Amino acid sequence: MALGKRKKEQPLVPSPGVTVITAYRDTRTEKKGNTDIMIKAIAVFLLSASSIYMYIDGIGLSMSLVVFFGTLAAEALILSLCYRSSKGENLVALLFLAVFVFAGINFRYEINSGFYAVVNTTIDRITDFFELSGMRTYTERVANRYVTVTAFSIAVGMILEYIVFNLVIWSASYVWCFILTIIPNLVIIYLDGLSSLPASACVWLVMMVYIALVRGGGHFRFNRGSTEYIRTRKGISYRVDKATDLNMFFMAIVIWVTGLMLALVCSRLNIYNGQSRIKESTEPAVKDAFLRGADGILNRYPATGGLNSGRLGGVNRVIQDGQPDLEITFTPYSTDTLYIRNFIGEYYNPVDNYWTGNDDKDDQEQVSALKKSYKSGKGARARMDIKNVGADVRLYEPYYTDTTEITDGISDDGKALPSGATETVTYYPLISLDDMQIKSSDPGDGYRGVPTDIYQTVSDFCRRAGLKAGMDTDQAVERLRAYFQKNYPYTLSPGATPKGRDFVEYFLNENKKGYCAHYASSAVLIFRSLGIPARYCEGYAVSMESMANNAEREDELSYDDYYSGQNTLRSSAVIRTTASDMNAHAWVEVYEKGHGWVVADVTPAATEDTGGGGFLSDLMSLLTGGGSRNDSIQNNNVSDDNGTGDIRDSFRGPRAMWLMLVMILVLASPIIWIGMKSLYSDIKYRRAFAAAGSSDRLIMHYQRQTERRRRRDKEFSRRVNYEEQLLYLYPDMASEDRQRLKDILDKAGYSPHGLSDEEYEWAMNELGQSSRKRRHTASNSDRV
Amino acid sequence: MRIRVGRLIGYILAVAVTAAIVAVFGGTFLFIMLMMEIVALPIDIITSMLMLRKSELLVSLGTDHTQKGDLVLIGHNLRAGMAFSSYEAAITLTIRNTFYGTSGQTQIAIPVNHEGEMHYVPLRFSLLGYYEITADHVMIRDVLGLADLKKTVDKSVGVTVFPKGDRDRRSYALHPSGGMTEAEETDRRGNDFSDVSEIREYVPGDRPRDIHWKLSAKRDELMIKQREAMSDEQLIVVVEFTEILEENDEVVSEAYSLIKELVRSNVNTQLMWWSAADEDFRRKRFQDQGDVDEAFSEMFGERAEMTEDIDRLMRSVHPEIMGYIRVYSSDGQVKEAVVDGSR
Repeated sequence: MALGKRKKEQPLVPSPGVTVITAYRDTRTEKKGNTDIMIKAIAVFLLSASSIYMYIDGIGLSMSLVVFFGTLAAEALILSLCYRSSKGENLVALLFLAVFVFAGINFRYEINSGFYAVVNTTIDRITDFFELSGMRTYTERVANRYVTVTAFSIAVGMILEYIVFNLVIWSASYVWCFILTIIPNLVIIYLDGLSSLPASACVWLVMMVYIALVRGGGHFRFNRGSTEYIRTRKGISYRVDKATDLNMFFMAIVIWVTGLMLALVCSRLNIYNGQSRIKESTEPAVKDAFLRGADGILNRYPATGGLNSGRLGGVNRVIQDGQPDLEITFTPYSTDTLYIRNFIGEYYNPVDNYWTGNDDKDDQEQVSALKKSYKSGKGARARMDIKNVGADVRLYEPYYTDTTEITDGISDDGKALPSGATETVTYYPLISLDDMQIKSSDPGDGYRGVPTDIYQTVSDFCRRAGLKAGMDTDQAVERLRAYFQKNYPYTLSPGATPKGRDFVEYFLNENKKGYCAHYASSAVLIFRSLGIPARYCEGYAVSMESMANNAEREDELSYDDYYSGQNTLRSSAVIRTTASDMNAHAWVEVYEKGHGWVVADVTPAATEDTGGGGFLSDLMSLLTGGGSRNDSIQNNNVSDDNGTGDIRDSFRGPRAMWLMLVMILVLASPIIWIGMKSLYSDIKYRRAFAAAGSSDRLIMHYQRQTERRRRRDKEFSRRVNYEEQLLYLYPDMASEDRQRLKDILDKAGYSPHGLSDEEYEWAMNELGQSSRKRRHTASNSDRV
Repeated sequence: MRIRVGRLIGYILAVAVTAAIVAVFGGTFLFIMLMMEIVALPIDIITSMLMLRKSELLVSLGTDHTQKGDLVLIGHNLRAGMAFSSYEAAITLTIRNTFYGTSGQTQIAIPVNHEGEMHYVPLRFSLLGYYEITADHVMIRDVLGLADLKKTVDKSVGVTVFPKGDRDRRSYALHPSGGMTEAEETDRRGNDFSDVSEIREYVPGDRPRDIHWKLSAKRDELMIKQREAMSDEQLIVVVEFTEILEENDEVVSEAYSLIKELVRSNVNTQLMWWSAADEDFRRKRFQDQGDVDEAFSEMFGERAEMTEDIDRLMRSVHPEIMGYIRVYSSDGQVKEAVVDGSR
């Protein structure tokens, strides 16, 4: 047994005086070639159509099978007919381009809607699988999914079939065929493993095996020649054999049947049951990837609603799943937003972009003041049950919680609420600021400091915003909020802060858009620079509107158990509501003299999106900088408005340019490829020519001339030996010269002795002159 | 057997990747794909072994002789003997020219399938001689393309390549002068033929008509005159081989053409060439055109040996031959010379 040799094998040389003729033309070969391409076209059709149908059927959509399969079959037929000649090949490319343009213009709504139907249905399947809710969908302009899915499937199927056809006939590249046809189906394979094994999947399997066998056999390269054989390194090789091609179909079916039976046996013997623990363990990651998308991969850390305990700058785009994180049972007491806090940031670390947390909320004095007010008949005392259903393991407290009265559920160190646990807190709702009078006036230096690195940035901003040191706190808060609202739009897709840049500096000076963490972090430093102690907080902010949408009244719970004291709402009851990552929020607390820490939320309301297309219009907006996404999901927990992200903003500038470049490259790639191919073959020829001896050069030169002629002139292609060819090519040449040329060619081809310089020069000269004469004669006769 | 390492590695990789994907994704579809990949190998091995055993190679030539420069179709038919096929069976042909002692190899790749279609390979022979074409072995590729399996076969065919019959020969001063039949001579000259090559004593058995009566009377013993009647004369063509194959071909072609012309003209002709095996000249007489091909076939059946100074060799081996036509090559040109051995 020998391993395949790595070195280049030496060519075999037939005995001197023996020539194996490859130019021999068998009349059957042309028909064989046509049949061969037809067989491959059928395989391509089955592969492409089954791949598309597998997906459409897998996600539960329906379409017109007759129209779909009929169109793809027609395309395969046209391709197999046209590819028989290079002119036909070019013609069919132009034809399909025209068809696509025509269809793209006239059926754009149907195709567009079909695309979104597929996308929306896929999203539905995935959300069902991961038990998600509130996922974004796209608007389908045309409601009739049967028509739109058919149109879309045909559009995609035709493109796929064209690409796969070229892959199969030129290189039988089963790897690329596999990749192109299986990748979209990975979704349904992941979701249900195609356990029902539809017919389309079986056909796909058989066709993939067939193409792999064709590739293994080595005789796959499409060749338009009508000669029976082609020259190889060692001799000659046949071109096509339709019987073997057909037999490989049979072989593919045999392999499929045997594989199927083996799989059944394994299943019966419980060797394999279709389940995969690894897959189960990947589900959270896949879910995350689905939710976050590609952008999420770029996010440097997991973040709930874009927040992660004071870490800043790593979120490219906030992705929200809408799943409950906390379950809150309490009695509403005002229309104000309910803030549940879990993080307080004291020190800001510039460039590293994080807040150093402080577990000490430093608000017990305020709690005591409120307690005192309550006892004196003002204020209120309330109970809140907070259950951690999906949030990070941290401590969650509403404002002015009496930490001495937190019961149940909390971890032993009192610093976290474990997942699934419920804490019961007693807190003192702030009905009026007057109820909270404290003696302390200084929260400590930690809440005044602005790092030197960004002091100038903050100062410049204050100047621009008209904020001055010594301003009244309320005035400063209002002014800042207004300034942000006007000049720093809210977005869930601000883009990650570039590495090495400071989060606040990047936001204030360059990016000028962001979500709550941006505003809160900047505002804290701004207030501090104005002399107002401030601190950064994270947690959940549940607005009245949010409660109104998803709260449930808990009639079996006693109001008195949950609330006593003043209630600004005329009627209230114990409710249970949830806080999700849509409610995750970051805000500012400022220290008011005599009152302590109070909420000062400066995050602006998001602007409302107004219609616009879907994916395609988003794509256009990427390129032109306009347009917006029609987003049906509810976002954000900002007290007033919902926020929607504007995808345009994520891609402005260099990214759009790159996208344009990529699109241009993709469109131009066929032309580039053709150009490179002919350039490469020309360079290869010239190198071989330069390295060859005189005999080989003459033969190469002659072959090059005749090859070109043979492709264009069918009559010439029937001339198989030098004599006939020279007579055809150079009828005007003197017969002695023609005979001499023939003898020289024979000598160059067969004799081991090689040509003399004189013979070589003469022959090359004759071939060159005669060529020019022929072209000149041809052009003259054309003119005539 | 020759394993195609790249394909084998690719196959193993494909199975490994599929197994990994099945482990991650699970599911029936992927598992079946994995099973298909796994069973493909034993199916491949079994079909290859069977094909190796059952396949049969037929080699045929449409003719056993041809002319130089003409196409000859050599047919190959490799029947699988079973339902499965292979895309490639590479038949290695060894082609030997016994006349020049040259040999070489070439490979012809044809498919193997159940029907076994005959594949004709055109060959063109540009040198004369007898070519023995032997199919030594066949390398059959398995279905998956992982290996080439060797099957030893021993099929041979042969073809004799003759020169092209009609050449634009230069005419020589070689017109058989006379070539008359005996009857014609008799008519012409009566009983006394003046062209006598030899006089000798009578030996029992000599023909009475050969008795030289005039001399016999003088010598008082019977004397016989050895006639030089044209009807008894053989035009001898001696071929002188050269080292250079093409020139040798020209010489032999010239001789062939010459002899064909002579035979066509009813000239009794003999062909002679030096045989290294016999260490003597071989002689062939021709009665008709068919004898010419036969003679040259015999010539091609053994290796042509270059001889130096054929004339000296002729004089030493066949001194009785007074004259002949020597066909030889000189300075790259084919020449014919009349050698008069009597001088």
